[in-house]
Amino acid sequence: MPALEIKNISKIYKKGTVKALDNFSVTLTPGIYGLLGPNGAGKSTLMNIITDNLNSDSGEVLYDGENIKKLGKKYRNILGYMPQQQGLYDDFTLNRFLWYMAALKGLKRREAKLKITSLLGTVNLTYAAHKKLGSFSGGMKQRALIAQALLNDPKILILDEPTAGLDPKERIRIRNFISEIAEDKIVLISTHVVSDIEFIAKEIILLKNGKLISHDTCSNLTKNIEHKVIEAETNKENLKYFQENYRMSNLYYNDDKVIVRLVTDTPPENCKIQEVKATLEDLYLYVFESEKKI
Amino acid sequence: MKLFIYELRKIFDKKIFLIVLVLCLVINSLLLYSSQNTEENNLRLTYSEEYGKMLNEYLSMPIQKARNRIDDELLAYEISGRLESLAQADNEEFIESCTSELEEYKKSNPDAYQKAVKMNRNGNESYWKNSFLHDMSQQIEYINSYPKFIGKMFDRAKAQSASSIFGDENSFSYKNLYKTADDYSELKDTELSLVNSDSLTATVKFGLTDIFVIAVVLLMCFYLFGFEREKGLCLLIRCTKFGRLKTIILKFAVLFVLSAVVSVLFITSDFILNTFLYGGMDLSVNIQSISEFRNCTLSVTAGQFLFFFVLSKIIGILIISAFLALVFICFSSSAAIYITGLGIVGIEYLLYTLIVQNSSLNLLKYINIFYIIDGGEFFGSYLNLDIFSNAVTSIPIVLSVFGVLFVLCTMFSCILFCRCSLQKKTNVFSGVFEKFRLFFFKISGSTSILMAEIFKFIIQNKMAFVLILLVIFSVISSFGTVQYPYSEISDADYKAYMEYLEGNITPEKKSYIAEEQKYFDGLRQRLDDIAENSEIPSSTKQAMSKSIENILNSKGAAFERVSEQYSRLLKLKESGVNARFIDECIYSVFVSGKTREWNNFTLLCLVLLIAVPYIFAVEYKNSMINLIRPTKNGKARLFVNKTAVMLMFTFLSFASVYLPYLIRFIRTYGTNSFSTPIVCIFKNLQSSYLSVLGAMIVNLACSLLLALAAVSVIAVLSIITESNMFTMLLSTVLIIIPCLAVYSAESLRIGYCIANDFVAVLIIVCIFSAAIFIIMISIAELKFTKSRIRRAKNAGS
Repeated sequence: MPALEIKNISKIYKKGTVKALDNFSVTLTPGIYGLLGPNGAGKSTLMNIITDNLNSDSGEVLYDGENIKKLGKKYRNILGYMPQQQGLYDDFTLNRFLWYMAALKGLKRREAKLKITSLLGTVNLTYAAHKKLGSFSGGMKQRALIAQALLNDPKILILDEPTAGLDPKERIRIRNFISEIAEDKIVLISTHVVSDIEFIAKEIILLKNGKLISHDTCSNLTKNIEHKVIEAETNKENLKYFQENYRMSNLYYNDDKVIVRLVTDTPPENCKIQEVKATLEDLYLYVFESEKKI
Repeated sequence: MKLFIYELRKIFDKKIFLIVLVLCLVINSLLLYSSQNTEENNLRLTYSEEYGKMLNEYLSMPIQKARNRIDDELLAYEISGRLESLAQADNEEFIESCTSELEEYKKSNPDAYQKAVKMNRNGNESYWKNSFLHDMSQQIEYINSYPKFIGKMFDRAKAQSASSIFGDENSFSYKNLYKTADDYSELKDTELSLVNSDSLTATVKFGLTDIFVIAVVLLMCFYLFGFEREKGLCLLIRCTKFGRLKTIILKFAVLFVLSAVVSVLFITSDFILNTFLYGGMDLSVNIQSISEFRNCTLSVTAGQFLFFFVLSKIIGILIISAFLALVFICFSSSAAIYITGLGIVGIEYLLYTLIVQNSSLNLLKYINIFYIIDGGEFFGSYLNLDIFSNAVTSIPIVLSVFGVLFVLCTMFSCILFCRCSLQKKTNVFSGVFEKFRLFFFKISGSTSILMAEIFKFIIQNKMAFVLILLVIFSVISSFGTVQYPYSEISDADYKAYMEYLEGNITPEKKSYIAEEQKYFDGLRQRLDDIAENSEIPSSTKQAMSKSIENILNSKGAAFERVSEQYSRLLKLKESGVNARFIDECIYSVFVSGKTREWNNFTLLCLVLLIAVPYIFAVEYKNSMINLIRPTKNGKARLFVNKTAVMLMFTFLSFASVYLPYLIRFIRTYGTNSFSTPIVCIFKNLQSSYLSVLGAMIVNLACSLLLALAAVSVIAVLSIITESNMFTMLLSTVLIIIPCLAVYSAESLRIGYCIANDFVAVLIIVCIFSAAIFIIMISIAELKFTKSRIRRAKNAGS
């Protein structure tokens, strides 16, 4: 199966003052990859480089051993991309928009018709195909964008915040759909919604300040913080102390007590604590939020 | 204050604004310089310092003494000229008359004579002095005539009011007469003096500066009112505490302040340049000292007048800026803003320039923003308007009308800005229409990129509407363009001759010409006979001669033209040209109609700069470019298809603009003369390989190449700027303003080059246009397909 190799990619903005990507390397094989990182980590920059929308300052992206710049059209033929915060042609109907994207993706007429009909059903927008995109809600626009990304049955699918703006039902639907089709595709999902990828991603890629922090399966990554996630019982008066000095991933009230979920190397003393199973969200907090030392 | 600074920074933080401002200043100065640096002005510019010195010399003496001195000097020059002519003459008769003339001069003006002899001996160096002395003499004559001019007002009013047309005391005409006399009477003691006024008059007369100022104001309006809407920032701003009324008021404050500053900057640069060219001016003299401002009734000095001139420019620009701001707020589509804003300003300009003073529509001429902007006319001339049969001075009326308009524009803008709702209104038919569409809806479409691009451009962006409007406008404006261009009395007879003679030179036509020649020779002979016949009474003689002279002046003059043309055609035939008779009047205009050529090309460029940005720039507006580029056909192939749409639209527009006139011409005059060589039309043309048809084809081909060059520049700008409105503004500065600048330069026309056989020029123009087109399209392709996205849009996470 062809792999997508990202080799030593660096990207610098503003005449060297901002390093969006710093010698980033990873190899992607068919399956779902979750790209996690805070704002400004370089996720969108990476996606734009992979989709050949942006030139890197150094390094290269190879697909099946060949540079994507050299592959050109052939590479773009197997690419499906869904950017975040994407504008659309407000005066186009969804139908016309998908036909236009099909034309740009080089689909034949018959193929395009089958695909469009099928995808409209998948994203649950058949009823709105004749309506103008300008009248769509945010969630409907997201689904329209997912549909266009899948038109050419891409081998590489880049999704930037694919479930943003969708209700939980739609989110699950899209997540399950991505899982279904990802068997023979390289799917890279960038998201802040950890639950989108926690259960479907083959590997999680952690990106911070343009650098690759780690990439491994979700279970392996969470194993690293196995004994570091605890729930501590405290009261209202001490809450501020925990907020200021620990990574707090959750808190809830239990009668007059406050249960705080902490991700920490140094558990607090003088309170009742209990180790809990680490989740991807805990890992995110552990990696991307610094803990203030007591 | 802080918010004011932020609004100011929205303009000054844009480097492109500063670049455009500087560019406009430089181009304006260059155009001003080239308009002054003419052959007529050559002496004045070369010897401006000497002129200043001469003027100062005569200023220091009383006016009468100065006049006498100048007259003596001029006489000396005249005598010197005569001496020179005498030295070069070989005609005895001339020598005799010249010598006696010089003897007369010697007797009556010995000083002047001696001076002339000295001048001749020294080689008569300062011919420019002669020219300057004439100028000063004219000035003094004007100064001396001014009191009479003022004094005659009342007498003229009395005399004219005696006639029946002006006799009605309640009529505007009557009141105007006496009001005029009254207003001018206040100037009867005005002291005038010699003055070097060229710097002021040149500044006042140079009208292109206004266009540059309006272009800069348009750009400011875009940054203040259009930019935020394009970027989707309006929603963010409007939901804040000061995001509505305060914001719009501050925007207007910034717009007005900067408009005034820009206006002053441009006028100051004009005046400084003219001062540099013509020398300094004494601004303390009364403005009426300058003959161009004879009709000014303000008791002000030249310096104060300059202040009023600048003030009128500022007032005019403020009103235009308020209007343009309203347009930006009312409309969201770039094309609608451009067409409405510049359309109305353009119409105002046309009304001001085309309507004559005495027309019944002259209120449209004077209650006009360009009347205010034309400060030289506004404050420098005298005009009363007919307001319900009352003679009212124009200045307060015009200022009141536009003052109210200014307030209304600003007010409506504020109201619209604050109340602007995003809610799309639906009507009762929306639901029915929706059901109708759903009933017929099928999942079908086309995978042709070209069809999709054509749909986007023509239907979605409503360019079909623009094209239809263009066709209608061209067809309507072609009415009257093929009328016979009568300019002389003999034209009607010439036309009649040509209706018979047009075409090949046949034996019948030769004999016809010979007969006509005989006829007119006979008439001339008859005229001589009548003059010599002493038996005929003088009154009868006069009547007979008059009738023959009338025939000779009209039909005879026409036949002379025909005869000249015939002789020329015979010579051409001898040199191997297929010479044919052709109506010179019609076909000279057809081949090289200067105004028509300019009108057509400028209109075509205007349409292209409104439409073409919607092909490329629109993809950046909604960041669809991010989605398009990673697709298989989203780079080079898409660019090719978009370019094809652009070229199709260019050709269609070209045909819409140029064809109606051609069709109308062919329908009126036919095509019989199309194969006639153009050397048969133009007297100065010695050789040319072109026929009328060939000339037309060459003209069209060159125009098309120029249009393609222009459209390629617009395409590149739209890809670089990524904004419709901005592209339109920049294209206006780079294409339309130069078009306006060459309007009066009639030699800068393809038709002129054809009529003068400037083949090399035509070839250079074609090669240059083709080169620009190729280079610009290459740059456009590179930029459109290059992997580059700005960080601000995509690197947020």
